[in-house]
Amino acid sequence: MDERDHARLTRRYLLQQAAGVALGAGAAGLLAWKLHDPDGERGKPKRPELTLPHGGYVIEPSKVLPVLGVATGQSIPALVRAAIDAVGGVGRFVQHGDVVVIKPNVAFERAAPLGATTNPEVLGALVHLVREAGAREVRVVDNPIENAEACFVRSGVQKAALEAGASVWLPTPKDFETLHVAGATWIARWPFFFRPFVGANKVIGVSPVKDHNLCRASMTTKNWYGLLGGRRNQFHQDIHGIIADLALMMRPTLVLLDGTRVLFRSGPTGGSLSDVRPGNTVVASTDSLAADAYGWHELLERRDEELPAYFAKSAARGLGNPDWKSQSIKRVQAG
Amino acid sequence: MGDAIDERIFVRSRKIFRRSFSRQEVAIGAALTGGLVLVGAWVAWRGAHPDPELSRSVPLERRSAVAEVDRGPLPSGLAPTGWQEQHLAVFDPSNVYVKIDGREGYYKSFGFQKLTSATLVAPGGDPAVDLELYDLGQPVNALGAAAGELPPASTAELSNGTLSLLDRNALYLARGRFYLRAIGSNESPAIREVLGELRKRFAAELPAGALPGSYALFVPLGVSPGKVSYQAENAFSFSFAQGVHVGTLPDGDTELFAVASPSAAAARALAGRFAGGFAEFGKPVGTRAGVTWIQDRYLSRVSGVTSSGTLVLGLRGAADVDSGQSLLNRLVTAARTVPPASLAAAPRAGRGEE
Repeated sequence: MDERDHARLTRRYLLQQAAGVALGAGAAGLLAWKLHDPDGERGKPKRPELTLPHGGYVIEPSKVLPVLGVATGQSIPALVRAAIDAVGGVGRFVQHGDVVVIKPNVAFERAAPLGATTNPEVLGALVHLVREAGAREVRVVDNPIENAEACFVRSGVQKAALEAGASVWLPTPKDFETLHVAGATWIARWPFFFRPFVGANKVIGVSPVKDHNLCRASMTTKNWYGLLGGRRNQFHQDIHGIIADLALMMRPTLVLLDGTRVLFRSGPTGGSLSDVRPGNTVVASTDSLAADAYGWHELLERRDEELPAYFAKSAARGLGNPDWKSQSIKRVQAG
Repeated sequence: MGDAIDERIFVRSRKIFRRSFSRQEVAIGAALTGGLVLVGAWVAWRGAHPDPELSRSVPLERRSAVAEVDRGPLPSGLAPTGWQEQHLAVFDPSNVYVKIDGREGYYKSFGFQKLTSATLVAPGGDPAVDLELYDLGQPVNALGAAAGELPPASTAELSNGTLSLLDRNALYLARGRFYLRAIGSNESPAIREVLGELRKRFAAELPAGALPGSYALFVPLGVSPGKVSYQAENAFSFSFAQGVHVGTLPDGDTELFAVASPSAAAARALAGRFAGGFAEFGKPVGTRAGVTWIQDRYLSRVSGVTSSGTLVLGLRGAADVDSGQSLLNRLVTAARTVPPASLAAAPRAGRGEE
């Protein structure tokens, strides 16, 4: 460049060029900031955050009917029918055309007599009753700890459900959605086995009575744990808090406490028949805490021990009344 | 180049400065374009043919646990004639919840390191036997975990360094650092025969380990081998009580216990803490040979503790002071023949994720 060229670089021209460069660099920086996605999460398609129906799946409470129906006897179909009849009969809970989700506990790959899973005969009898009431569809669902297919087959739950006229919904990754549970401590937003609940309008839980190494007892409230996905073991840090969250998450139409067998030690996995005793009881209730408290005292036979902490935490949220003795109860000898 | 090009300080618009490209440039451009087309085609094809594994029902987060695994200490050829071995899997502290969620804390309290599991299945899929082989790092942990799960009314057998019990549908076996639970789907003769064979195989093939001194200490005093246990922490609900060996006598109430301390002074101090702990739940009812006996206010049983060298030795839940002192004297005498090192606390493994 000679002197003549330098003379052409006016101040205005240089400022204009510098401003252009600064603008371009700023725009590039803004774009980079907007696209920054170090863990790839922002690049994933956004999944909708879902909720269960406001108020859950509960039915209108009755001022006349008992809160707890307790049936004892040997014939399992008679026990299930009698327990439900004691709280108003299946027609109170299921109407013609309903789509009903039934949640048994199929957590482990164990044979039914070992008491770690819902008794398939109880499940089968329940499905029969729900079908009799005119349900359009009955879906049996759980997200077990171990391999889902193996758990459903080994426990006998799959066979019992299918033979009774239900469909079995095994979990796949695409079946989970982020569920928003307002007021929950641990699962305010958590992966939930959602697909079976699409179009369903009634939910029934049916769980065994089990000792539990962490929360001391696993019954109808803890049973909803099997609807969660993700790394569930992290909940062990506050197991009673998460069970109280489960009570908040799922407000069922009805719960059945399957006390036909009681896994009274080495729970929740069990394994030895020496850890199981016959309970010959089925409890039906619209109040999970009342049913579970009954199971704690009368089926696990821990009358001298305080209820696990999750009862008080759930009751403090107004999710039930664990003082079952103060509630109306109907006892029936059946079968 | 002319003035028009010299004037450019920043390129304002795209402009081709030559009228044509060389053949080499065209060839390179064509090759790059062809490469991009191939990459695009490969992506499209993969998208249309996803790995079928992705569509299986097993949730994705569980797949790592069921991948092909090393059998580790699990003997081969365990399946009886006509049966099949299935579901071989290995779990470590980070993923054992996938197998035994809710129960893993129990094994982690005994130094859990690895779980090897498999299922033996009869023709037609039923009956079946589930095998759970826990590597708990130390013999004292394996024996302790087994003792905690044996049915209360059972009597386990101790033979050649193997503690085992065949109870109804289940086999419990502890040998060396390993604890085996073999769970039959029923208690039929066929299942019990399989469990009996497994008992022989595992007793013969699992690596042995030295038994803790608690067996030599407690069993001659009348404790059944299955009632000897080890409590790594919070023994008797005392937060200071770690590495406690316990033997329960057949009456079900009287427990002998022993703890190894680093020095005689530490043992004396720890014995004092045990005595203080017992006193919180009762009142003194007598002193014999320098041991103050405390009667539990709820159970009306008596407890006392002393130290002998580097060992803390005690009794919990004895019927009365005289019988308690007599038994404690025998325990102190027996302890002289047991090397204190054989009662040392097991090294604590990481608890991992719970």
